[in-house]
Amino acid sequence: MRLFHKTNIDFLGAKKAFIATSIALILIGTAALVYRRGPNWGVDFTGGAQIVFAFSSRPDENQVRGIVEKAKVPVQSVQRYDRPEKNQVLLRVPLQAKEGRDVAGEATRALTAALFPKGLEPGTFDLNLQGAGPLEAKLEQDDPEKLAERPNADPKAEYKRIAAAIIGQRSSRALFASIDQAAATPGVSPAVAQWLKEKTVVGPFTLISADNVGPQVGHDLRRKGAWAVILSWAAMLAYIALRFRSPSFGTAAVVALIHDTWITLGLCAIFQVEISLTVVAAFLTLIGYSVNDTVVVYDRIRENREKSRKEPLAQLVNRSINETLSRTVITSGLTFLVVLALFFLGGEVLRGFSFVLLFGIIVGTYSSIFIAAPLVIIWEEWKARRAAAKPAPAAVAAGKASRGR
Amino acid sequence: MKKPTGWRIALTLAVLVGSVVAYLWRGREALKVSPTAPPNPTIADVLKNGLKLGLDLKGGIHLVMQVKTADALRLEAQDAVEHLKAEAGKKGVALGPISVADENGFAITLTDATSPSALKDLLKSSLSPTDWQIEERGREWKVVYRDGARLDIEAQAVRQAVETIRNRVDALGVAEPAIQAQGADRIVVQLPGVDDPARVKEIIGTTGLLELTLVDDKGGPYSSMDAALQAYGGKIPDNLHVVEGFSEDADTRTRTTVYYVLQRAAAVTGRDLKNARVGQDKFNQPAVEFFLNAQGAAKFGRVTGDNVGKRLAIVLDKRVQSAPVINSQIKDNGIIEGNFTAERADSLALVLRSGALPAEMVVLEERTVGPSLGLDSIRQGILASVVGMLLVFVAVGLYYRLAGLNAILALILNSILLLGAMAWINATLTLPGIAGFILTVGMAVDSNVLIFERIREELEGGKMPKIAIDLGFKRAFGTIVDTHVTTIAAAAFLFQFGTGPVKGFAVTLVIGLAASMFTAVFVSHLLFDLVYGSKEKVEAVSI
Repeated sequence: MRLFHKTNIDFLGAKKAFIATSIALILIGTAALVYRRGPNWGVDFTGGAQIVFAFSSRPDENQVRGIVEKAKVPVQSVQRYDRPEKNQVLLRVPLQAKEGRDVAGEATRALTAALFPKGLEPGTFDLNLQGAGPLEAKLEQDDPEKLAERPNADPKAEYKRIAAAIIGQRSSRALFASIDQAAATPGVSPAVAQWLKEKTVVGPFTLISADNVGPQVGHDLRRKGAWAVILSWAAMLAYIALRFRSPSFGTAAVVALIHDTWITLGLCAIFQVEISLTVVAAFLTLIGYSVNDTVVVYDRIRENREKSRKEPLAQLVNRSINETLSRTVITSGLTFLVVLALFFLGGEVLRGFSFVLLFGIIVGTYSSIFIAAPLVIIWEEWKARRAAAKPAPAAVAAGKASRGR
Repeated sequence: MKKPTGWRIALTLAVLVGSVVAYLWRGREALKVSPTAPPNPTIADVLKNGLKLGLDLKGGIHLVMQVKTADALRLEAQDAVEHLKAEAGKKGVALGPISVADENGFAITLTDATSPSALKDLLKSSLSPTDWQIEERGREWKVVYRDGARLDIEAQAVRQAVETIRNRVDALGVAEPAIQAQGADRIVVQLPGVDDPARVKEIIGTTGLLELTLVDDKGGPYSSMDAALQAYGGKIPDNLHVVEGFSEDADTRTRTTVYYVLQRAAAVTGRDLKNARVGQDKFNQPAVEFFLNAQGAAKFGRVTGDNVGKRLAIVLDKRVQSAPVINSQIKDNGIIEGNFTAERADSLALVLRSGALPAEMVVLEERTVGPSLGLDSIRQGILASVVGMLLVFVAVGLYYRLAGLNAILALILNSILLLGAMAWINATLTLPGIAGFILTVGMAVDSNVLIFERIREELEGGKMPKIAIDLGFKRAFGTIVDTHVTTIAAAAFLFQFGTGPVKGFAVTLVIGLAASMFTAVFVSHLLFDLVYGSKEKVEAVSI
C-alpha cells in the first residue's frame, strides 16, 4: 500500500496562501486568548483548590455550593465532573490569601454536617470516609469473630486482612452506596457482615481528589513552567542552527515551533482546556515532537543540496518536501492514532494532555510541510536581495525606496 | 547485507531475557516487602508489582509544608532570656524589662538602675558571642542572632520536624513514606496508599504542643478579650497572657469561645511527656490520658502541691482544652478533655506520643488522590495503551506487510525493554508516565517508518533489494538520531521543571526513546537479515 507516492505538489508556489492561513489561525487563537483573558490556567499555576467528591446518588451542584459557602469556604464554581454515572462534582476554591488553609477538609466537614449529620456524632464510623487503619482498630476492639477466644488465631493479622479487603472493595467502586455492599465484600464472614451493619454506616459521599496550591508554590510553578518552555525553544534553535550550520534553518524551525505552540494554545482557549502541569508537559513534548518532522525535511534538503548544487533552492526545497511527504504524514498519523486512543480512553485526568497532543500533532505536521521550509526560502531570498543591494552604497537608499513602493 | 551473525542474535535475546528477568525480579522483591501481599503470590501478582506506582496511581497524599522557623527562633531567644535572667540574679546585675519582640532576638530597655558596662559584661559572659550580636541604641539595646546561629537553629528546626513527622507516619503504618527537607524551610511528605487523607493530614499537621499552665487568680474565663483586659485595668502584666479556650454547656453540649488569663511560663510541657493513650472523661466520652516522666512528675508535683485550690489549664497548641481546679497534689498523670470522637482522641494520643513539632507547620501544597481515582486511572491507562498499540500494529501491518511485522516485533520488544528498564532502575510509573509509554510506541515507530520509506526509495532508484535494505538503514540513521535528540532534549527540560507525575512522564519518554534506538535500528535490521540475509538472491522485498 502506498500513499503520496511520487507526488509533485507545488508547496512553495502556494506559500503565500499557507502563510496567510497560518496568520489567520494565529489571529483567531490570539483573539480567543484575548477574549478569554489569557489561557485557562489551572490551579497548579493560579493557586487555589480543586476538590472532587463522589456521591452515591446524583448530586445537586447548587445544593453543594450552598452548603460549602455556608461553611464560609469561598466557592469559585461547582460543576459535574467526569462521566455522569460517576456522580462526581468538581469544586473550585479561589486562592486563599493565607497559606495553609485546609479547604478540602473544611468542605468535607461541611458536607458531612449538612448531608449526613449522624457522621459527626462521636462513635459513628463512616465507611466511606474512614480508612483501613481505624477500621482495623475498631474491628480488633469489638472482635466480632470472637478470635480472642480461639487459641491459634492471630486477631491483629486477621482483622487487618478484613479491613484491607473492605476498604479495597470501596476503592474499586469509589464509594459504597449501601452498607450491604460493604457487607458483601468477598472474604467477609457473616459475623463481620452483621457487625458492619450494626456498628458502621455509609455516608452519602466520599473525597476523590484534592489539589490545593498556595500562593508560594503557584508562583514557583508558573516561573518554572515558563522557563521550561522558553529554554526548550532556545535549545531547539541552538540544536538546529548547530546541526544545519545555518541561522535561516534554525530560525525558521523555531518560528514554526512557536507557531505550533501558539495555535494550539489558542485552541485550548477556544475549547476552555485548563492548563495544568501535565498540559504544560504535553506542550513541551509537542515542541520536541513537532521539531522532528521539520528536521526530517531539513535533512533531506541538505542531502539534496549536496547532490545537486546547481538546482535552484526553491525547486530543491519543493522536491525535498515531496520526497519526505509520505514519511511525514505516516509517522504523524501513527502517533495521532495513539493519542486518539489516549484522548478517548485515557480518562478525565489526561484529557487536557491528550487534547494538546492531538491538535498539536495536526498543527505541527501542517507547519513542517507548509511553513518551516517556505520560511527558509523567504529568508534566503531576502538575504540574496539584500546582498545584491549591498555592494554599491548608493543603492541602499534606492533599495529602501523600491521596497517602500 | 550480512548474514545474521550469532552475536547480534545473542545480544537481542540477552536484552529481551534481561528485561523480563529484571521486571519479574523487581515484582518478587516488591511482594516480599508488601504488607498486603497474598501468602502465595501468583505470576499475575508478580506482574502487577514490577513497577513502583506513583501517588497519582496508587492514591495517597503529597504535601509540601513550610516550617515556621520564626517560632523556633523565638523559643530559642526565650531560652536565652531565661538564662540571662538567671545569670543576672547570680551576679547581682540589675536588668531592665526584656522582651522577645520578633524572631531576630530580644530587646532590653535600660533603666536608671542598670549599669551599661555591667550589662555588657554580663551579656558577653553569659551569651556566646559567636551566636549573638549586641546593638546598643541609647537606652534600647537589641541582642540579635548572628547569621550562622540563625541558620543553625532553622536547620535544626527543619531536621526535628522531619524526625517528628517520620515518627507519626511510622506510627500510622504507612508503607514506603518519603519525608524530605527541601530548601531552607520546606518539607515534602509523600504518603502512598493512604485511604483516609483527612485523618492523616490532621495527624501530620498538628503541632502537638502540650502545656500545663496555672490560671491566674483573676484569670477568668472571660467572654471576650476586652473583658479580660478590663479585669486587669487595661493592661495584662508581663508574666501573664490571654489564651483562647472554649466553654461547654453540659446539657446541650454546645461550645462558646472564652478567654483565660494564664501565666506565661508553663509549669510542664509536652517535652516531659512519657506516654499518652485514649481514656474516658467524666461523661464517659473519649479523652486522652497522659503520663509524665520522672522530671516532669517532680515539677508537676511541686506546682500542684503549692497551688491546691487554684486552677490548672491544659493547653494544647495554644488553646485551653480545660481548666480544672487542683484538688490535691498530682504527680505524673492527667487527662485532656475536649468532646473528642474516638478517632480524634486516638489521633491526638498518637501525636502527643510522637512529640511536638518544633514549630508550626503550614501546608503550601496538597495533592490528595483517593484510592478509587488511582485504580480508575490505571484501568483507563492500560485500556488506552492496549488500544493505541493495536491501532498502530494494524496500520503498520497493512501498510508495510512483512516489513510491518518486523516493525511490530521491534515495537513489542521496545515495550518490554522499556518496562524492564523502568523496573531495573526502580523508576516510578505515573499516570502521565502511562501516556509517555504509549506515546513512545507512536514515536518509536517513527524510526521504522523513516527506514522503510528510505528502503522503498532506494528500491525505486533501482537498487538491488539487499543493498536497498542496507542503504535504507544507513541513510536514515542520521535523521533518526536527530529526531531522538530533539525529543529527549524536550524531555530533559520536563524533568527539570516537573513535579512527581510529570517527572515520571519524562523518565518514561527518555527510556522509551533510547530503547527505540536499539529496537528500531539494531533489532529491526537483524530481523531483515534473518529473513533475507541467508538467501543467495532476493527478488523482492515485502515492504
